[in-house]
Amino acid sequence: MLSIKNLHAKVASEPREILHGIDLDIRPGEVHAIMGPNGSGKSTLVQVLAGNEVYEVTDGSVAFLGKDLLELDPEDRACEGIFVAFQYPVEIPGISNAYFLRAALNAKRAYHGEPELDAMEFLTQARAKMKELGVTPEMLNRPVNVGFSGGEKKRNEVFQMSMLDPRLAILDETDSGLDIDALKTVAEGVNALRGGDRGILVVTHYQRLLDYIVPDVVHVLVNGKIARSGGKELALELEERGYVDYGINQPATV
Amino acid sequence: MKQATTIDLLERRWDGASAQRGAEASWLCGLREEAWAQFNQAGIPTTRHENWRATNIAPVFRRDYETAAIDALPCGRVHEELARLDLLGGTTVVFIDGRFAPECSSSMPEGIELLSGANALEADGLDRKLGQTALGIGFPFSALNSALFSDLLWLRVRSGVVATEPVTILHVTTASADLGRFSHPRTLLEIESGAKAAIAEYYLSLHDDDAVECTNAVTEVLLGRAAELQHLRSVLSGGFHFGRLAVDQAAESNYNNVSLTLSGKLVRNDLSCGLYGEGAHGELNGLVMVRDDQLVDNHTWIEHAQPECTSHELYKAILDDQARVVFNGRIHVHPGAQKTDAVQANRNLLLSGDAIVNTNPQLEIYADDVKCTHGATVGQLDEQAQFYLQARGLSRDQARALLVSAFAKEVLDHLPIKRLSDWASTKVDQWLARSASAIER
Amino acid sequence: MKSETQQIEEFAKREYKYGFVTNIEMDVAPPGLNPDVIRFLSAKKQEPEFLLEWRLKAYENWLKMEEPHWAHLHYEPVDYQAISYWAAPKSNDDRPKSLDEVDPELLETYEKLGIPLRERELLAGVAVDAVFDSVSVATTFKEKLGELGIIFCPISEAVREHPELVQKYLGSVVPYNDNFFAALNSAVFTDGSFVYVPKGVRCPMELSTYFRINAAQTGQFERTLIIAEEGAYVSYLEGCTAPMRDENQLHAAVVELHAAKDAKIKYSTVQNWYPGDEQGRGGIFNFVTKRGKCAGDRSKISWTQVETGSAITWKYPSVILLGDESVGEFYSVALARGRQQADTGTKMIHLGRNTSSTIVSKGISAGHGQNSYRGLVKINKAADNARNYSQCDSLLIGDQCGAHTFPYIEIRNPSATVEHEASTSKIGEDQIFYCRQRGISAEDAVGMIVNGFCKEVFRELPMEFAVEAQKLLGVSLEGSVG
Repeated sequence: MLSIKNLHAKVASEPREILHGIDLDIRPGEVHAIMGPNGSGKSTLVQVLAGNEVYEVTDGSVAFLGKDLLELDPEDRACEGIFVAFQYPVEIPGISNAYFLRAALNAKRAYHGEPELDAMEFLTQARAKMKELGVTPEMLNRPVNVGFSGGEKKRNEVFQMSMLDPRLAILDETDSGLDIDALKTVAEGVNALRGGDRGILVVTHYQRLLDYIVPDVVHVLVNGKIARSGGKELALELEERGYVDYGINQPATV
Repeated sequence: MKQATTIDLLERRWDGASAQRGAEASWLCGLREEAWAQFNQAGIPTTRHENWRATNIAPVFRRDYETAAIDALPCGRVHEELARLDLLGGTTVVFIDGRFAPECSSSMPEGIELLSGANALEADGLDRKLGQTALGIGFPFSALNSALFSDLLWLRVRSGVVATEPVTILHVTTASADLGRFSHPRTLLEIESGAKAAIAEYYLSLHDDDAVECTNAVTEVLLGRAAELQHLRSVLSGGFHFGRLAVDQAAESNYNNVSLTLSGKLVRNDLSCGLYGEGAHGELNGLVMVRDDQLVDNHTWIEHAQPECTSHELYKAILDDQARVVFNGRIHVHPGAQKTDAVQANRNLLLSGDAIVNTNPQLEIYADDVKCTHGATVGQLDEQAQFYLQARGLSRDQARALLVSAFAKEVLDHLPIKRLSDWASTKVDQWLARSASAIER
Repeated sequence: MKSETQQIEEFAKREYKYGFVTNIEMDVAPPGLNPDVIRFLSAKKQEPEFLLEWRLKAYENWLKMEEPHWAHLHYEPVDYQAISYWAAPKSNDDRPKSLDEVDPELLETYEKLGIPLRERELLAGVAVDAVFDSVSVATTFKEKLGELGIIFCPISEAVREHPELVQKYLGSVVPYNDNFFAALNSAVFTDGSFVYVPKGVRCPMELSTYFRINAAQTGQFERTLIIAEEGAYVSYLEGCTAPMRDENQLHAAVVELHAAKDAKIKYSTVQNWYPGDEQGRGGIFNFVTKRGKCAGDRSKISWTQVETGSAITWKYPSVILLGDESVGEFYSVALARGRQQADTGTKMIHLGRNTSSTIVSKGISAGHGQNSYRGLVKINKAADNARNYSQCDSLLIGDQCGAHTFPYIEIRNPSATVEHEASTSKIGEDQIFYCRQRGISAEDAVGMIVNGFCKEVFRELPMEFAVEAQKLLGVSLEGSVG
């Protein structure tokens, strides 16, 4: 469903290339993990897939469900079914979570020619999902991410993800800043979305998250290239040896 | 017709100095002529002027000031006064009635240059430094100073020099109840690129509070690239004071001013800090503690003219009796000054029902990627805090005294040089002790 | 349903009744202002002697006054002698004959705001004879209000039918010599609204100029007087969200509110006059004096304004807190885009004990717009335990605009608690990107963030108005973000 070929990218305002030719294929229903040390280009890859204009693609292609992803605006990518759970979710004062999420849902529905969801239908759906994910109902009325703790922000991202029902979910360092209990809840939320033809891409520095979201394929990203791909045992190997085999002296455990 | 008398006096002084002007460099003579014209054009500001709306300065012009110079410099008296004010020791420069008094001053440490008199006024490059930032429409007293100052104190900290000890500058007036003085001290502080220094400027009177005195001081500060200056400015005399501070900061420089006003019948400070180089940081902080019928008016301007500059401003005031305090602080973010980060706060505490506070914090912003906040409060002591302290065993009076003292001394936290902050802290305590009964109320 | 003819007849009758125009051809005074013009105008309106004298006193004072220039506004000087101070409503010949002759951009805006076709014609100044819905609504309103003893009528009618009330309250809050523009208004005001709510009555509906058709014709010098007697309550809405095309460049309105003991007045405005084109040509100069007096103990006056129109806005709705425990509020959203300039804020004058005031100002600057908040909080010596909280936030969109904050705070009582906070922010690229990643377009994201920024003010507006104001803001900001 996602096919990345020879992807090169950089920060638009700077000359230095960050991604030096990434190749990656995710098929429906698969869970992939990208692991890599700091500065390897993990976040850049996520931002490029989401369409952040701060980054510029200099070469290569990305196809998503048969469409040229790089041609699409960020909102169209979202409506096509790409969801990014951000590492640092942005705060938007004055806009309640409920309002925001309903606007997002309805934008997507409009894109697909479906009728808008009215407030009652939305609330019924949202309450059910919140219950599943252990999100407190008052969160719906709070402004988007404003004053949320690190854990609350991440949980909110997963909640949004489950509401928007994406075809491909991308989780950027979703484990960072979480204690073990929060990590478990977040992982449960993600695992609940597993299956069917939904693809999931987990991006992380640390192996820990992969104890809870067990990937089908693990890729090691080093210096803007995928250095190695393998099964879930690759993550365990990294846990043991860190990134030292890739010339970088950083552990992969917390 | 006392007002006419004072204006007459200033005019006589202008006329009397024509010979001196004739002997001066042509640029300086030109500067003076222009300044005098500016002063005359502007006239004495009244409360109808926006910048003077809360401050009536008419009383300044109802006194008799003399022009005669003193015969002998009263160095002994100066030292007695310094002892009384705990200001003895360290490198000290003394100006008396606007003229350098070498007999009373100590020598400069290495790397710091002191120029005055002809040495200063005839020095190369002064024309590019003097009067560049302090003049301009809206500062009639700056103009008056430029027209009439008789001596210049030019303190230059040489490039790369790191001066560890603060330099004390004393501007002393010899005015007394019988002999009035209207003086125009002029100071130029130049901190060259990469240099670091601390300077404390004090304005004091040799005689008591009844002295007929008006000090019209201008201090210009030039900070070179990455230069740093800690600057304490304190008015300790009991008369009228006009103070103009104009700071010009180059890129990456760091300026920190604390203005402490505990005395003065009527004090008006116009303090401006110009962030004219990228990445500069400027601070204007002030503490005003007034009683009786004192009036202290601080007008501040922070000019964010370049990107990536930061500024910080904290002004606090405590008022007792019929005192009146004015704060007017403007943060001006120029077009293109992106990534500006400016914080301004003004906090006031009234100890008396007859005191008046006017505060006017202002933001004027012409760039979009900026963080600017200002806040002003007038209020009482925090009841919660008072209760907390009482719960820890302090009496109500002790708790209140402690909270008022903490309120005031927060400003002194911005004075990192211990010798200066200790001195200021003592002065604050002395002031508070006199208002103890008002604080307990 | 009444027949169309019936409705038109009613409208015609009503217009006659209100005495706006008796003889159209003769009712234009030559440009310029002098005592004769004022006498002529007063006579045309069949005003009692006291009002003519009052107008003449105002004129005498106005002559001696200077136009204020302290605001952060730059505009070409107004020639007050070039204005005609008594012009009957434009004759139909001068107006656009149909919507085809109206500025297409204006029409596009109506379309986006979902304004019904009939109303679009009215707003655009098309020569229509009557707006059916409004007329019938106004009529039903009047009957219902009359039963409660509430008077809601044009002030010119009140002058004739309730002269004792007008004489007692006119100028009691904004004296005829208050300021340059108020003096001018006092001398020459043509019409406006009058509201009187008797003791203990709670006005059961929002009163609105929008439904009072003649409000659209009141022209440059509108005068509004609202009186709430002891324990009364009234909520008044001024303006409408659609942009009003207007021939008059200069507007100098005066609004006076009087709240007796335990009375509450809520005054909401949406001002959307023509702002001029992109280059700053045309557009309304809006110099308004609005002031309320909390005369009685525990009275409350609340101003809410959404200012999106006019080339120049000079407006400071104020509250004089005279009664003990009285409350003043000011909630404002001001938008300056294109070449618009707004200098607006409030004055809260605390005179009584235990009085409190709240100021929430949200300024949005875009394009080359200049937006200034200017406010005064004054706590007088006798105003023990007064409290004020002010919050002024600015949002900048683009790097060519300006946002300025000029609060004046004067405290003469040590028991006062006054807090002023101001902040400035922009819409973050990261916020927009976050919204887009969730499928929301950049334009919608901006609208959403701006509405979030204004939320504290919008929630003070009556529900329907709030929804319209939100929509209006979105439409006004279209194209502001690159």
